[in-house]
Amino acid sequence: MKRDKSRIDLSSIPAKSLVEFDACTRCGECSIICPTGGEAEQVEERTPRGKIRAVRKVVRTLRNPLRAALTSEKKMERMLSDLSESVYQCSICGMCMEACPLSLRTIEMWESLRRSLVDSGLGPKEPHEALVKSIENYDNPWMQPRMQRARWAKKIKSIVDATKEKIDLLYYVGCTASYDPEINRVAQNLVSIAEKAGLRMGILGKAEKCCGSTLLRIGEYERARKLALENVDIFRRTDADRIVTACAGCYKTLAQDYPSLTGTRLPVFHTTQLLAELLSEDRLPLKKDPPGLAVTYHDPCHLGRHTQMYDWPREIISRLPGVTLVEMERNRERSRCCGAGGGLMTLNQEIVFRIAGMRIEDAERTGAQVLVTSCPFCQQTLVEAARRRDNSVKVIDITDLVIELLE
Amino acid sequence: MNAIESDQAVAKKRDYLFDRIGLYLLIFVILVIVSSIILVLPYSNTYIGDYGADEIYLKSFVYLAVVSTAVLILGVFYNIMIWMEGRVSGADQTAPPARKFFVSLGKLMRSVFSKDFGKILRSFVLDVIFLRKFWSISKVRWIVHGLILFGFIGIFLLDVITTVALEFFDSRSFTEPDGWGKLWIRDFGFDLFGLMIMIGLAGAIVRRFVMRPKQLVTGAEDVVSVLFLLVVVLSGFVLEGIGIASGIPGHESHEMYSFVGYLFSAVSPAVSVDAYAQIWFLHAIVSLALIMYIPFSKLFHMFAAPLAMQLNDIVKRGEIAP
Ligand code: SF4
Ligand code: SF4
Repeated sequence: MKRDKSRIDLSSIPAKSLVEFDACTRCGECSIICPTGGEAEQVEERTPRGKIRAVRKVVRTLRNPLRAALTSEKKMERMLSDLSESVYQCSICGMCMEACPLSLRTIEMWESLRRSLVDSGLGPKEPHEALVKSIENYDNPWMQPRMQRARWAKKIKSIVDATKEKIDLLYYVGCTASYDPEINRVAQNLVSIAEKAGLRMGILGKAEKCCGSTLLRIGEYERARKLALENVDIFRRTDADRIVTACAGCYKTLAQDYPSLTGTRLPVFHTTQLLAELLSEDRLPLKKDPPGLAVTYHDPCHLGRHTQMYDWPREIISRLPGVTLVEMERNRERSRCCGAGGGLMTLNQEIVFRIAGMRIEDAERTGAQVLVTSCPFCQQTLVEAARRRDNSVKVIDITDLVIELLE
Repeated sequence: MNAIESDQAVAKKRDYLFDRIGLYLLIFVILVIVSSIILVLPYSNTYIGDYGADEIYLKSFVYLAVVSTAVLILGVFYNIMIWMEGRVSGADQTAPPARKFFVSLGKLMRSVFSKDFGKILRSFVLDVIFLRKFWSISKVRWIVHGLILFGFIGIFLLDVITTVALEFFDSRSFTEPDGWGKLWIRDFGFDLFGLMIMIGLAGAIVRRFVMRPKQLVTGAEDVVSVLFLLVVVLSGFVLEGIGIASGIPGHESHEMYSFVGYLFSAVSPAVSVDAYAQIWFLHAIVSLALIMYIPFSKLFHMFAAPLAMQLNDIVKRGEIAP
């Protein structure tokens, strides 16, 4: 269907978010700390405040008959395409929500705005199209065949098909850990940990589909909903009463978005919760006297500001023998984003690595040699950023750290 | 099946029509009530009015006040109708804004007057009135903003008190030169809150135009908003100063009480009653223009921000908004 590019349909933005666009006082608290428009670029139009202003301006122009009559179609189109451009130059990190004195729920504002841009034929951006196609054709954003999804698990005997066998725990692997050979290790770690803890863990194998996080972040709500419904259907074919995921993005999507997308609340946990629980119950055999190690921890946005899971990873680190946590100056709620989320990696790698570079600098300043995180996507990005800075710190997943310290 | 569906569609259309009529009726009733109040008040609390030629200014002011409050009310509804283009749970998403408005209003009422009333009231006081997060971010900026906010709230409340005392109770204390209400409320109270606003505005202006911190960008609307407020308050004091200097009845010099007005009077020329009425009218026009400007500017945050914060207190973080 061809859409009129000089109109915008607001019906998918919650009315509450529309109130919030009008609530902004233009104080700029968000703008100085926004990793994209603020810290990396310093372009007002791309800061949260700039975007809010643009939304108000566009809507007030379109909905005011006099102003609409005085604005040429061409100008209107330009205003809308500029707005779309700025709205997608954002990693949906949620820093603006944290910084805002009114705590405006910007995450919801940006995501629903993107959805409305998609509804109006103004989004997503061209580079995202390959991503959307890949998810549609292969059920993953990496253009990898479905058949290869569980290749990493081929030689692992202890992992079972969750749709066929009785299990304690369903491991939702997610696309990055399934296909990225570097990140496969996270999946393998989790299998070993489950084995040591005596848990029977199953996966969905090639039946698993992308959780839809990427689609949701770029505003492709309907496509994400279809995937989510299919996934919930597959989950129902297992007898698992717990689903665990090692990916912050998958966790946020399954825990926070699926209830409204599918009407189903899933018993989903992040690995950090599982590991903290296993460690606190002494179910993992830890090394007795390992050499001391100083680490710092990077809160992934999806596990931090989006879902407030700040304590579990810290509890894990505090229970590991010989490991000391040295916090970065910006941690927990004020943790700096790695830059890769919200479809930005596909859109503007240059800026992503500028932001990720700043995060590596944060880590360097702590003096710790190891930067631990709990999201494969953050890990992928930060590993590359560290490589560009001569591998000044080693970036690992929290499961790597735990495995290292198991007997 | 088709007949049932089309029956439903007709019923839906009819409901939507009722919603729209209901909304227009509601706006109309609000306009009528507000306008009537403005028109009916005798304005014995203004400093002009009893002196022949002044009559025209007072009358014009009253009619312009009706127009400007109507613009304010319609402007607020214009904004609300834009909000109502958005998603409202419990309402069909294709429903017209008028339907969503009534659904939202019902939901809002139900959540406010629920068992969580205490919790909502508490968060209203802490988040909306006290702005606790802002306080934790910057005490100095909180004070600057607070001076303006509480200054205006104070003036508004004193206005209500004065109006009620004069119009409903015919309180002499508010009119006699040595009356308590006159000295403490009309002279001291207004001066104090006006001064608060002035200091707050001065702070905001120094920060925005002199200190120019990196986090502020100044566009036309930022300049207009702050200058508008300044002109309103400043013209109020200039008027009071001229009133005192000219010995206008009601402005008998009580330097201890009208302490700011008295300072202004020291540098004010003495003018005739007519000239005073004209200056009074100018001040009134600027104030009414400010009222009309609110819904179409960033000053609208005075309504939207408390509402947004309150709604966010109702919807838990991490839950997708209804
Ligand atoms: S979500 Fe993050 S990147 Fe996006 S506008 Fe807010 S602070 Fe900037
Ligand atoms: S911090 Fe909040 S109120 Fe301030 S400019 Fe940003 S969004 Fe607006």
